[in-house]
Amino acid sequence: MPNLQRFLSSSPLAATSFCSGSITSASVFKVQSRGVRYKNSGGMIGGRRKRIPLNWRDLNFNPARLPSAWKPPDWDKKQEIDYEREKELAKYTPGYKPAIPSHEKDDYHKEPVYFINSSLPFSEGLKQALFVTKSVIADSGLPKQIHNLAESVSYTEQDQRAIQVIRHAHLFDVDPRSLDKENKVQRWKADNYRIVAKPDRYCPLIMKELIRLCETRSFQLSESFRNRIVIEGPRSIACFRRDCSSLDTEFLPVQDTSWNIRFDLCADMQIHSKDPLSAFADSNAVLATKDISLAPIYPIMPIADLKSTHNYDFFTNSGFSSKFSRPHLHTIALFNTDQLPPNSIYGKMLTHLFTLLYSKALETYGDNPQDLSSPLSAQCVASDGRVFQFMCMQLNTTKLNSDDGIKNMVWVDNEHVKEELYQTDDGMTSAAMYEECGHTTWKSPEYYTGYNPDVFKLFQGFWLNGVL
Amino acid sequence: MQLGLPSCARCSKMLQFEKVFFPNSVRSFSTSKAAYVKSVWRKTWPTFKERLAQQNLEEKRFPIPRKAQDKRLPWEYPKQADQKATFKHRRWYDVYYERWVDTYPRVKGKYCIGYKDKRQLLFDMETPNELFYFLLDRYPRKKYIINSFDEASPISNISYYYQYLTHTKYVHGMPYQIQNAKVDEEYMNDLRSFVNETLMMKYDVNFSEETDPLKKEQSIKEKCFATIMKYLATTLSTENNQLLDCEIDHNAENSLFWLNGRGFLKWTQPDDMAVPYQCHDKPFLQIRTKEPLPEFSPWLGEFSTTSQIPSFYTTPHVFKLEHKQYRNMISPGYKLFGGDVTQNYHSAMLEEELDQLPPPVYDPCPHGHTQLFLLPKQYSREWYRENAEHSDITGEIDEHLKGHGIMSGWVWTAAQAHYNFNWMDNDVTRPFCSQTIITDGQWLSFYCYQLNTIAVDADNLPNNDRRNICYGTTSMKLFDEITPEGVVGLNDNTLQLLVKFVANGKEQYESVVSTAEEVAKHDASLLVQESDPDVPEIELQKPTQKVSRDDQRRRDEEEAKRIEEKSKTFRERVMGYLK
Repeated sequence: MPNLQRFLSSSPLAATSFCSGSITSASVFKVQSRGVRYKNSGGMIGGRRKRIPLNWRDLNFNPARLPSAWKPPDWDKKQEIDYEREKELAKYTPGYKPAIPSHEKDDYHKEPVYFINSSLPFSEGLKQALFVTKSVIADSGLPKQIHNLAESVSYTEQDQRAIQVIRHAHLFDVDPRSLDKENKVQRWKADNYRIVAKPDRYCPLIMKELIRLCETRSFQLSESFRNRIVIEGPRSIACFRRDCSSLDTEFLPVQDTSWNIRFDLCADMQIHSKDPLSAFADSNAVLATKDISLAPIYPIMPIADLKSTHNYDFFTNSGFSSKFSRPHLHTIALFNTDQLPPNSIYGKMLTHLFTLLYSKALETYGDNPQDLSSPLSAQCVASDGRVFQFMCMQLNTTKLNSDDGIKNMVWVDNEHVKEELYQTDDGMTSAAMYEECGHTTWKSPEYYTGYNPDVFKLFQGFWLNGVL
Repeated sequence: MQLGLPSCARCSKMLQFEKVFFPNSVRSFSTSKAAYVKSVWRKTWPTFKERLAQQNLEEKRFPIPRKAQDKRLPWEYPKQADQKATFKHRRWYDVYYERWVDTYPRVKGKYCIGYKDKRQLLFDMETPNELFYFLLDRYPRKKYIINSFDEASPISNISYYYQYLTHTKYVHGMPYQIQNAKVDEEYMNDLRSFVNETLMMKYDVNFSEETDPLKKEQSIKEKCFATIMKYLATTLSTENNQLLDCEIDHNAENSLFWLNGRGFLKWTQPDDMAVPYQCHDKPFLQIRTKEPLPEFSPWLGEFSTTSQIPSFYTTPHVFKLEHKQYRNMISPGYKLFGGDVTQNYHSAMLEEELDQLPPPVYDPCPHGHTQLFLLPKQYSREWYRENAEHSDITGEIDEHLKGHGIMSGWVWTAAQAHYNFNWMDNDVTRPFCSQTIITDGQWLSFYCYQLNTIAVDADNLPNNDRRNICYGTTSMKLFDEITPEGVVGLNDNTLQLLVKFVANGKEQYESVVSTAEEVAKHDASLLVQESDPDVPEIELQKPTQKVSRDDQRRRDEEEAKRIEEKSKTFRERVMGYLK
């Protein structure tokens, strides 16, 4: 008790933080449902009330998980790094890597950068991504040439093959993780529940196999198949300064409206070709974007929920050397294994497209912000194995230091994208390739329901754009 | 009707009455504090008929359960052939007892997988699913875990040991149809440039940030080889039509459980128990097709019945192989069937649509074509040289690769044979062929495996003439080096073999092979790996690469001695003779 009193007197804020802290005392225990079982719990007649957990392993002693009032008084002090001692250690210990304060590191910048990577996407999805990349939604739905191409490329057996791919992934694929080699799982569970395919297994399989079908088709149709190559997991970085002049800062907590932003992303798969993809919109349509203003996202800040750091390298890299034989981006494929909702996956797609196109533009046209003489265009497909999202982008300008002038253009497969994005809060919708497929889909004798042939037709047309 | 009352449903000693205690409130009327509980005897069954139904099911005495049986749907309780369902259901619902009953056949008498006469029950099975229940799940004993590739394995001449385990004849060289297939020169030009550009991705593309250099290199290898294999599968679909409908598995796992030989397993058991083995194989990528590959060697030819297979006389505990018990598994990388799981039966019953239940579905591409293995990331040919850990074992490089090829081919094809409803007593009636490519990124090994028999257990083997065949070519270089300027020394023969493997199929077979005699003649000209009959021990064998290496070493030593002799003075030479 005296110990506690001393602690309370030393830090008067501790009591308040104990009441208002988000971590409750219940979260101290590892097993939430069972809790800690106590010996002699409750009121024992004629005995002292003992609160001793039966199993001390049930208690989580990690001080970070403890309520702040329970923290040892010297916890924060112990966490501080003594940099001078680190320097001394480095002097006398060979191979010792001393901890350096962030402002003394080589890559320290006075101004922070707000960054985005594969694990930290835009929290507000497409709406926020559009504003940051200075893009506008050009038209409702995808460009008409893609729909026309999808019609002309389709053949009779394609649906049958797409269904075979779906059934392969959901019904017949063996996941090595589900095989029990320690005798831990009961037989009936292994036979009935462990056979259900997991998204991080079936989603890449479906995408890879569908892409292979499209590649086979493109090989049948024309010679330009040899100009293309499918690459898995290249990494690209785009750094830029974004100045949002149109932002009304009167009611915002921050008055500054220009930020350094860094995108560091790894696409799951992307296809590159020797020839660039033809533009989706002509020069008149590009000039017409001057009159369209960026859709306001108030009260959301453009950098809302972005992490920031002072230690960074400010450079742009498309991920491909100048020698690479197929320099032009054609299509990106993203695997939505976390099953994100359409709005956030559209935001992710836009960031990927922008990163690759922007870095390519800087490589070809130089670092000066400018309106591109010939715009760059690319496409992106994302899927969680069932629901498919399509997006086209045309990069018209690298002038991101103002909200005026020519804007970049984006097409999305959703017809009512503007209404769903800005007028309602229900979230966006996307087309599903099938309703359900699995071992328990016994209502249909083929074990899948609601196959939608239009989705694979569009996918194929998208993938074969520019082949004919 | 109440179940779970005093005794078992089929027990003849049935309680006619049971003691019922009144609740506590009644107890309060009692005068003393001692426990005094009011109770009464009650009839266990409300009617005589219901009590009768709980006893043995005889037709004359107990007509009611018989009526319940008559009420069942035809697939639940088949009587006539025309009343059966199109497929055998896994379970049926007993309306009378209100519970699900599995349709597995009951075991009559002793059942034991280790002896042929005690596993005759397997011939009564109607589906592979039932077969696997008895073949695998009813064998809860420890088994030896075989690794198809393990560079730290203590077994020397491992390919001979794996020959014994799988009853395989290893042949140096490629089968006739692969050897004599022709590759278009234009196609080769395109492929060469494509492979060049793909391998150059190592320098041209910035792949994801990975701190571990071994992992990073492995992931780049995976990406390059997946790209090359998919390119081959796509572009060769015009020549080989079955590649249009093929399926590709990524990171699959093939497994096989089998018995071979007899030996000591446990102190409390007889010392001639059938020895069980389990192997798990992890191909990086495998192609499956709708039609099987044509045979490499004639099914009825002499080549698949003659050869000395090496033998081994103790159980593998001498190698300290892993010996443990878990569920026995057989799978060629895909599931036996889709659908037909037990929860479907229950949900169909709740919706009263039991007769609507669909049969299970099967994979349209059950036949293995080609599988690609990537050796583990820490694998290096340099490691086999003399170092602090061990002496020079460079002769084992090819042994390990050959063993890997034999074991992978066996596991994949034999698992396909089991899915085809064959087991050791019901041997295969056609050959199962598959191809294996093993690579560490630079060196490739090619194997063609033809499964002629799966009856390799101790009871069947004495009467079995047939041998499995594994054709193999080890250690072919794909390139010499990848430099930032370009790929140096891309090997054309390796690329051609790669193309021939993927293009293999009906069309290629018909264009190459005209008569079986040609194939037999070609096979006879190939070198077969056999153990020395005078010295049958596996560790004393001399495979070809070790013989040639020893010859080379002897020649080098003689050369060195001769040079040393020449350099000596006359006096030193004479002193040497005098010693």
